[in-house]
Amino acid sequence: MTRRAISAVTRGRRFAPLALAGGAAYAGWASGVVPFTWRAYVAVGVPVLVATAAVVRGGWHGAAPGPTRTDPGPSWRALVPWAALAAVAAGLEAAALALGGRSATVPTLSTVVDRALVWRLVRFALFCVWLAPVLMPALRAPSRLRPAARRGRPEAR
Amino acid sequence: MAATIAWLAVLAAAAAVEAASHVLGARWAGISSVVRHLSSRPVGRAALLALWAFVGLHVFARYTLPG
Repeated sequence: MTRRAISAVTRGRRFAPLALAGGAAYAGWASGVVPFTWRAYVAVGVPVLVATAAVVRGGWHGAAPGPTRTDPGPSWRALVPWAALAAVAAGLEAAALALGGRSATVPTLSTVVDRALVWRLVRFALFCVWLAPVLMPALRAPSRLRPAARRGRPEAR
Repeated sequence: MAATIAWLAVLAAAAAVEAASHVLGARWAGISSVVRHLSSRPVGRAALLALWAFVGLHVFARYTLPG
């Protein structure tokens, strides 16, 4: 590794605890915000704006390499379990919505999730999970320095 | 009650499929594999971003506490 690369990795590692602490603090604040208020929309909107800016710039861990000959991506057969689960979930949601969306016997997914959101600790944990894609770039070495993992591309210098 | 259990079963099954994908390798795709290949295309990245934003908005800004 060059001296410049080592320096970049070291800076990245120093920034990671700060990113984690900042993310946890933000999640702690956001999990205490009352829903359907402007604060709630801001709490969600800020990470969305950050992620949107990253995607527009072509960032978000750097664009993932597309299908290649050695890694053509998951086959249709490999996706069957997920397709089956999606079909079951869609059926349950459709049945719940057909009953007006407020049925006690056939709840929608959001109704089921809402029952867990009573506890702030659960909201905090879920917010941390939801926030993870925004924090991940700060926890990784710069993508241009990642060796050989980017299949078919020469190692960055 | 049965439908609530069905929802929890779907979530548990999703976790089981993800765990099985690590054991079975390429025979069952994991979430990370699907997301990686979706995000290799601009349309896929936009769709993932929209889905992620929708989930955040619905779960954290527009939830209704039972009561």
